[in-house]
Amino acid sequence: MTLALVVAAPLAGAIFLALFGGYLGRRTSGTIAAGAIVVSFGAAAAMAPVLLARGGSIDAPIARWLPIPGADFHLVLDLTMLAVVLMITAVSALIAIYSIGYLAGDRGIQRYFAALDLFVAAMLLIAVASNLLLLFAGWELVGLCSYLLIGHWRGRPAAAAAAVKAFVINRIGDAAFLVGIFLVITGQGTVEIASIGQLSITTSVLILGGALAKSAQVPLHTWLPDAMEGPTPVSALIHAATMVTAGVVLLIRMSGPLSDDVLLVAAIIGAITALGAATVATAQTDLKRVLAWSTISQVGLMFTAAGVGAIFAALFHLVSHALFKASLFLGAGSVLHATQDEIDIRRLGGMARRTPWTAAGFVAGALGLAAIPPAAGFFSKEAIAAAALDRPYLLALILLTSAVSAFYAARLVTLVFLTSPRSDRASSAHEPGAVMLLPLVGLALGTMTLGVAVAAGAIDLGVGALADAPPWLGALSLALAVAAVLAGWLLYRGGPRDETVLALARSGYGIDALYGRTAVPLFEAIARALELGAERTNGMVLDLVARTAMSASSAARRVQGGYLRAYETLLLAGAVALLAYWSIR
Amino acid sequence: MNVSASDLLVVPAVATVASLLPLGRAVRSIGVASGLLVAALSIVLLATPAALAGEQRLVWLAPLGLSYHVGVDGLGGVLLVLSGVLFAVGAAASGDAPHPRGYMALWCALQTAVTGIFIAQDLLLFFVFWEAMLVPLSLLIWLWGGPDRGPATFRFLLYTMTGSAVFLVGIVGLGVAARTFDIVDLASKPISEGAQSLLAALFLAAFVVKLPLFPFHAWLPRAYLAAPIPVAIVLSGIIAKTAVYGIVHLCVGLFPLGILRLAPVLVSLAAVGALYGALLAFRQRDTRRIIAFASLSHLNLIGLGAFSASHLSVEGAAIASVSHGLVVAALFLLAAMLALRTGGFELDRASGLGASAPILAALFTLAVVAAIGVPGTSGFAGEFLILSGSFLAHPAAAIAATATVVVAAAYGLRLLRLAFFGPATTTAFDLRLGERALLVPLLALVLLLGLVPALVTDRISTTDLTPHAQVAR
Repeated sequence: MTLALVVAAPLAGAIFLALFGGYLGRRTSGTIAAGAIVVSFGAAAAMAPVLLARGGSIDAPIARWLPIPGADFHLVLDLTMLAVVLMITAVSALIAIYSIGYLAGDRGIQRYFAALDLFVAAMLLIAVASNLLLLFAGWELVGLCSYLLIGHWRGRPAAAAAAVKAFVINRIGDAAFLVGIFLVITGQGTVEIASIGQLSITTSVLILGGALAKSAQVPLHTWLPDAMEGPTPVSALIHAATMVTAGVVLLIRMSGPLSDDVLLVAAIIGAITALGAATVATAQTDLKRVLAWSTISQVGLMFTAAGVGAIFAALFHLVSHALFKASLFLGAGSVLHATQDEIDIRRLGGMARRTPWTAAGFVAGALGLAAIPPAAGFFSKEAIAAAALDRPYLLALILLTSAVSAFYAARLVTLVFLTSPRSDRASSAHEPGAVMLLPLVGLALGTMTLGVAVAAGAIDLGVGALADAPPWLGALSLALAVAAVLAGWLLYRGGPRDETVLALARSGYGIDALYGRTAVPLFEAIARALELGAERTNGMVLDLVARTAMSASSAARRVQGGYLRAYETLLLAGAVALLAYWSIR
Repeated sequence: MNVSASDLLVVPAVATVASLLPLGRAVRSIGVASGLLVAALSIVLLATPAALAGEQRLVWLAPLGLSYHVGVDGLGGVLLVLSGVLFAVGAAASGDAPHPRGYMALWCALQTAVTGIFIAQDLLLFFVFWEAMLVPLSLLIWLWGGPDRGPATFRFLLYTMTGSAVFLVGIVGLGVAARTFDIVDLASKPISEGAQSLLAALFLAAFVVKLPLFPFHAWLPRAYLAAPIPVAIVLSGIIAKTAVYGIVHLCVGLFPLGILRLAPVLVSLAAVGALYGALLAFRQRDTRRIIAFASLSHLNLIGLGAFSASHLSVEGAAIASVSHGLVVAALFLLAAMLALRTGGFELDRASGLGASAPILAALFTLAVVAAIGVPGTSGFAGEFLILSGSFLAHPAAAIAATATVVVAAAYGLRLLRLAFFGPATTTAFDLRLGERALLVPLLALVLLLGLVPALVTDRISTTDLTPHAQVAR
């Protein structure tokens, strides 16, 4: 019952706001939306003592759904997913409150908060569904809400296009996931996750395909940078803390059944994506796009951890990243709010002096990104690195990624906050109100304290503790991070630099452009060819039959000409022919 | 309450006559009442535990084995409820048709014929109703339709009657050889595999044209566009499903081995059709044409479920049939409401209407979401059961059909983007109470069935399939 409430509360909030939100104001809608999520958090927290005491999981069968074994409305919660649930609800609630301030003056408040609550319900469903089909329902609904929220500002063509792109690319992964589920049904006889045995490589690859799209990993990552067209709280929630981590959650939940070979492939893809995306982030000049590529990179690290079986590390980094990335995004949102949407970091600067609280929150997040203690990011990244110790190529990629991450984090902080302002909008910025600052500060505090708590074993994530990492690893990571931060600060403290050498990186190594030149036109060409070719000829076939029938009938019709002499001639000819025939016989 | 299957015929028949009363525009309430009453009676019949509910049998020509035999089975009952709802909705939406009495009389006559198809348990009786559908339908399109109604009706009739002619050959051949035309009796008679294949092919001629299965669909775009919106709703929503019913009830029911033999071809055509329809929908600029090709895609997917003939895939075909009927009705109504506000059905007339008509945008979004099969809607339940049910026997076709979900997202969201996103080039008044009253029940049913698909699937599994469904397990 309590478990059902975890999903039901935000769902009810969404339905209520969708139907009646139009009669309520911005603050009321936002409070209801946040309140529903807080109820969810409370329900989850209430189950913590039971789970901590006896382990195992809490089971909540609710109702039948589809006539397939295991495909019911059935929820299950263990300690690992409890951590995920608490993270989702805590971060979402804070972002909902933040949105109240951010969206002042927006005309679409009702649908924003309704979509937000529906999103949270769907994301929670991914974490607590007992079976793959219910998980898939949450999976697709999260994609739908992402579409609705990215495209929230409907008047903007770029936002509309980005929303469609996100949904369609996610659907490609969903199609693969679906075929994977078919294979699970035929091979395992049930979709209940706890009952699934070892899966074949094909099935595992297909499920991984779904995860790659949802978590924006190569090659299905191109939707995430464009998704920054949506409101910044949306970017914080969906594209940092929750939706993109759904792939990681799936890998964690299915780490038993999935084939180990495929999981290793996932780890390698994750590591390569991590490094590549980090270099792209270094070259971005759009404040939010730096963070978007950063997310792709950090999620890649989570894939690496999950792929080598380091569930604890993956989970820890998932939670830790949610906190510091949300801090960064909310901080970015405050900067945009304060500077009337100045998004180019080359024209910002001096924000530390003008918006000190925002700066503090942002820097806390940046420390997490750069993996500098006491921020949680340091501990979680160390956990991942420790897990890769027996695979030096992965370890190298992880360490390199960390170094680049620290570098671009420093670049970002320096250009936006520490240098002098480079535009009027930057120089006249002022701190946003408390309703936006408090969530930011809350997340920043969480970043700083949680890491220490988990590393010290004070908080149990249910999948074992920090593996005994050799002390040289921690020292090395810290040294790299500090060096990279220093390099970033030194290079950029005088303001923006000439970055033409990074042009290829800035474009994401041309992958998105490549898709735009090949896959999309190919698809459109096929559709056009079918319309102008097959569809046109299809109609002609039976038209031809019809016309043949009609001309045959008009020829035959001429016999009935009504011309008496023709009838006489025919009668005579017929009579002669008959007589001739009989006489020959 | 003792309802017989014939009562389902009597209601619309009486309505046909009643429509000729001089009631002016209010005559459409007769159509609405008739539809709702048929739906209600069908629900009552579905609740009875008999395999063939409300059964009645009156022998007509005993030596030939012809009788008036009617009854409601699971799939028929479900589709009857759908037909009642759609005829009611369509009648309610027929407010501005000229010559309303003639229109409504033909409308109710069409409903009578469609109802007859779902209850007929004698082959010749089935065929009579099958042909009887054509008269009122063609008249409705030809006399009340838009430009191009003449050629569209002609092409529609040409295709349909060609299929029916072949169908009749099959019926007569079977009935004469077996000395009975009764479907229930024929189900227990042994028929050789070769004969089953031949008969299945002959019977299918009518159904593959009516569905329509790719590539027999050339009549569809023109007919959907020429027909007035309420007629298009019924044409796509329920008349296409008479073909589904024919495939499952007659072909799979009587000739399971034949269908099993023909399945590879049929299933491949259906999978191709699903993709083809979706790809073409992506190219269209007219909302009705988008809906037409999207329907082609969905109907072929339903065909895939029917031809795979596994227990699960037929359940999926049943839900998908109901879902598609409800969704296509909503989409056509929404397209008409949009066209009312922008001056036409072409999408390039106006953009950015989300700002001034948010409720229209919201309901249109919900309808599209159901059309592209997002979980929580009946569209997903139907699609998933069809695809997973077909996967074991026909994996390639199932995978090809699964790719449709990506294309569906593309064409569906493109429609929404062109109409409601972007700079507002014009303002529009939002949905009025009457318009909402038509849409909300349809969409609410879509969500209800998405969450409780057992309302439909339970009816299917308890009845007609069991002896015949041993086929493709």
